[in-house]
Amino acid sequence: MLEQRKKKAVGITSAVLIGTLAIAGCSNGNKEGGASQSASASASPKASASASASASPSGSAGSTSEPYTLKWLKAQDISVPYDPANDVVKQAIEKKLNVKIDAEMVDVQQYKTKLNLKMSSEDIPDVVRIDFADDFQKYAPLGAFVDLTDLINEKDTPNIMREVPPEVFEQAKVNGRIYGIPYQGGPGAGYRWDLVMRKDYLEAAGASVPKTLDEYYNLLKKIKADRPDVIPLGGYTAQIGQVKFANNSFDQIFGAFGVTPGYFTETDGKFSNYDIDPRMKDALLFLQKMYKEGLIDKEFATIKEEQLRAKLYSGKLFSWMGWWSTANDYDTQVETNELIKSKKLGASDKLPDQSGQPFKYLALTSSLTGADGKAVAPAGAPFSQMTAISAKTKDPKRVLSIIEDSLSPENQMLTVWGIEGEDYKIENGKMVTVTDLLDPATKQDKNGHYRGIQSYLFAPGLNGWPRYLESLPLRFSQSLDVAINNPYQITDASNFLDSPTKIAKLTELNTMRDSVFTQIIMGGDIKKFDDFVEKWKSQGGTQILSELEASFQKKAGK
Amino acid sequence: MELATPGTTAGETTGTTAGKTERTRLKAGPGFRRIWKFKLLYILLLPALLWVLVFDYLPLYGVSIAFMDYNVIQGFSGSHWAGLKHFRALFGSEMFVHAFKNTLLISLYKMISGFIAPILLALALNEIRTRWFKKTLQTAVYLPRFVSWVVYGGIITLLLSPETGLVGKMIGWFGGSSTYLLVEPAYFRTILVVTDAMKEMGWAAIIYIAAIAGLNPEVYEAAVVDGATRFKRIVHVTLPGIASTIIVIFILRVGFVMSAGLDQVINLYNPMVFEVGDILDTYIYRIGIEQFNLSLAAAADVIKGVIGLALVLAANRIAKRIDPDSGIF
Amino acid sequence: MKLTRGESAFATTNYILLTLLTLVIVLPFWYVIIVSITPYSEFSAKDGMVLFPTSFSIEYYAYLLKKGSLIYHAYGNTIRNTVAGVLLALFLTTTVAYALAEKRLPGRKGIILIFVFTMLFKGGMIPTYITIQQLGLLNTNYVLILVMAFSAFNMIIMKSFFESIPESLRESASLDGASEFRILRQIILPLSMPAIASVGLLYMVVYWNDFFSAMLYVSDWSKAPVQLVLRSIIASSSLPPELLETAGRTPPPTVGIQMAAIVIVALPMLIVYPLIQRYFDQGMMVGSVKG
Repeated sequence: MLEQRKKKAVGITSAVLIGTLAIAGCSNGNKEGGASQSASASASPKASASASASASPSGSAGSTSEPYTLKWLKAQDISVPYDPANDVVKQAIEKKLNVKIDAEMVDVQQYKTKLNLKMSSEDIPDVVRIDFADDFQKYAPLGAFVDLTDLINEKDTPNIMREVPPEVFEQAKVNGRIYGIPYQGGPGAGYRWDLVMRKDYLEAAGASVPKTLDEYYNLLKKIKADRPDVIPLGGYTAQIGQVKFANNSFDQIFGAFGVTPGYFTETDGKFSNYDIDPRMKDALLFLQKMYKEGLIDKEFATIKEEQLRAKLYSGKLFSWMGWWSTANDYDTQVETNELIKSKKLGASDKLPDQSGQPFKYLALTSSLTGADGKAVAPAGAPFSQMTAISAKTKDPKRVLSIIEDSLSPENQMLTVWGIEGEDYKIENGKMVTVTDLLDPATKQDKNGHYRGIQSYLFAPGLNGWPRYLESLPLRFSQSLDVAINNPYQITDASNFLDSPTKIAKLTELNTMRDSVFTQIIMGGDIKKFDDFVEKWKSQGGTQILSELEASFQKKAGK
Repeated sequence: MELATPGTTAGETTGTTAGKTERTRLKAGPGFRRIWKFKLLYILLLPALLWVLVFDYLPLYGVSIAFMDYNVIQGFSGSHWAGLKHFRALFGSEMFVHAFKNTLLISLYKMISGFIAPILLALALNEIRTRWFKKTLQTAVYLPRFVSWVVYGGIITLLLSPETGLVGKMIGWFGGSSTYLLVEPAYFRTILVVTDAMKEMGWAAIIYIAAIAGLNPEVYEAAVVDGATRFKRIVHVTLPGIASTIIVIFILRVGFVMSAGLDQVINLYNPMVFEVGDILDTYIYRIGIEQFNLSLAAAADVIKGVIGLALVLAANRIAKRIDPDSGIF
Repeated sequence: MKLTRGESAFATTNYILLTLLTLVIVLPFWYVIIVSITPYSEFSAKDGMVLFPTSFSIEYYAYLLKKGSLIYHAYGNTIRNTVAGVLLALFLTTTVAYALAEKRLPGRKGIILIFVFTMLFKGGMIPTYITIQQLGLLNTNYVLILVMAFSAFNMIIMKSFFESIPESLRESASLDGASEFRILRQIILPLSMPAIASVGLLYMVVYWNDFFSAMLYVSDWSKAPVQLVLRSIIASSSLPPELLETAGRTPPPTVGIQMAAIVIVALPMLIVYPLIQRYFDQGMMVGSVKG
């Protein structure tokens, strides 16, 4: 305890940045994902004119000059063996783009901290992938990145313009200038959560997948009556510092009332926030009722995601909000557990990959509609990150042209999917990834090389990386489909608008909200909500709203 | 340490007188010669001083960013002076003040229990006569030190879980109803204090155990001869013997009153107990996530440091009142 | 010494209470060990409350200790850093503590203040990082040894130990004609063994457990200590799914890995501590003073 106290005194700054580290993942506002640069699958070809892609005549691509050395900070899963010096895909990319990539590996969770450290010292990577909201908006005005406003246009950077339309660049501007290229990656922007239910419990109750809140509520009551050991709706707690209450655990309930915690709204130029919306009160009362009736996990306010998973695996949960990519894992785990229980599998046995099979135990659906037949679901912003060029790099124009070059359709396929014929094949016009290329233990191909796909890329993938959906196995494409095509999804109206008070005060407001909302759900007096609304407004909320309105006018007036 | 040249205490027979003469001889000398007498000691100081200079004082320039609007990219040249702006902002924030109060309270509770517990533990362990048993216990109690709060917090959460938790079940045996302890504001601080003691007392006890080991066994023997019971021996021999160590550690701990245990609170707290559990460090931690405002964080650090230093000096002075030989200065 | 009835009652109560307390304290660690060898299926079936498992699994250890894992090399780094670090730290700490134990040293209070000041005021993570960088220490083999090599807190504790060595011992020895160094070797040092051992232990655990300094200053995984490697492995398996748009990579559930990691790291310390404990035996006084 003595040593620890001392270490705490080693600067709150450390704590601040440890916090950044520990929450690195969740700080993405848990609405959008895609912060990691490790494996992922590609995106749907949203019919953007891929045919017209000219090999960019902009700048380099020339084997005439020396390869440009790019210092690169790479988020890497340390538990998996990898060596950048022995990566054939990387070498292919380097050859094609005429660069030499000097990669420094850092663990995914430490990425943000290391990046912040580097930004503050002299050791900045030449190109950085950086969160828009938290970091980019802070660093850009400080002069960290190259001003690209005059360098990006149809003539010089057609690939970039094709990937990122001018309206999106408008949103990404800071102080009216363009300091980076928006990035989303993976499946592209959109809602990512499904409402997941145990199919077997559902069927045993003689019900079908509910569409409205009322149906869902009655279903939960029935499940509770039939199976007293099962928790009808599971939830888990947000990590400290997370923006959103309860981590999306109750999206579907809030949504049916037409609200979603934390989001700003805009109607006719006037701004508000769902947190102070009267409908939020109704939603909270409803949740309070559900909690009282034992329909919500008593522990939702203290358990973490992992404990939720444990309950889920052992069959103690009936329904929960699930991130799209977890559905396969969960179904497989449930199936594994069931087989272990019935002794068909040993206690430590694992099932082979089930992702090509239809779901056996889980049923997925999107939003539940409320009394007005509508709902809302909190989708992420059109882009959550930026690719930015360090102001201290030697030749910014060259770096930009490298990026431009990498976004040709051919090069995108290379950086996202790897080498055609080896990492993937095109059969009947559809892309198929070669899944048995790597030895699962060593992660090397049969020649002993690593293959760093989706590791060294700039592809913004705002609508998803090329051919992303095609590459997904059945279960993944189903779960993604349900989520991303949710007809009721909305985005936060304050995305990309300027509000210094929001940056300064929003955490405090959100912490207050989390505290009050949790208390109400667990039985607290609903009057606390009204008190909270007043406090929200007076402690910065009103200020934020007026700043947003001003920023909105400014951008609209442009 | 006497620097008298070996064995030349001219002719005195009694030790104390000789010593006194030595001391007077040294004291009487003019300043420079005094320092020269101690030259060996000063040389001994050098390595650590050098280390501290390089690793602690060089980076200290960082404290100045508390008074600036620090621009991380431009460094100092690009940052503007902000004076006391951040300090005013902190004291003006309702949450900050609230966290401040919580910090003081929790630290106070922890001082009382968390400070006493290791001492009692060391005393109790000392009374064990069986060597192997003593060793085993000693090793066992310092084990939780190796479990980070991330994991330890998770275990506590599990044990206190309303339905399945062990603690809940035990309360049930004794007839009480199993309440969800972790979300009750009334219990949260107690949970913090108790779990912290459990985790750290074995570790903190090490110092006291070592202190006890340094005591002269002859004094004990004398006490036994005088007919003192075990208990009396503890109170009149052991405790006074390690009193100076206790005081020193107390004074040092007082300096850290402004840090009430970031790791622990972060891993145990939940929205329901926010009002009683939010401490300075967690407040700043949250601000840090959204803002990455180094200047604000540095300002908070300065406040903590100043208060800590003042407390240490005050505690030292109080200790000196009681016993002039005690204290760290 | 014959024990009176009261004394043996006291002794027995002491034993019982201590044992109970120890069990309570050790319980979480016991839990850690158990979970690390329980298959996840049983863990989740019992909602995590496993104290006496019915089946066993080494899947977590296998995952962490698989062939070619960074752990082995990292372990070597940790051992090297710790041994060298503790030696350095003891050197730095003992020299200063000894010097400052002399109450008549001119300027003593000021010097102590210099050290105490550094305990409470720190430059912050980034200035420290930059300093290390300017010194060219980043990512070297020495940085981790140097960076934790001194703690003013420990120094003050050791100083207080030295101060508690009675003056009379030294005096009578020097009266007997002993040289300075002889006094040091034959009297001071043996008496200080508990102090040196305990402060050494304090440093040792800090070095052994460190991961934060490693994360900041080491970018080469071949130089990483075992705590850093383990934390990273755990972190990647526990990332909330929102962070990974992955399809299909399923490591064993985090909790088991975390527990196994703790055991792997704590084990050596469990072995070392009992070895050091003999220095904590009371009455390490050699050549006691007569009269």
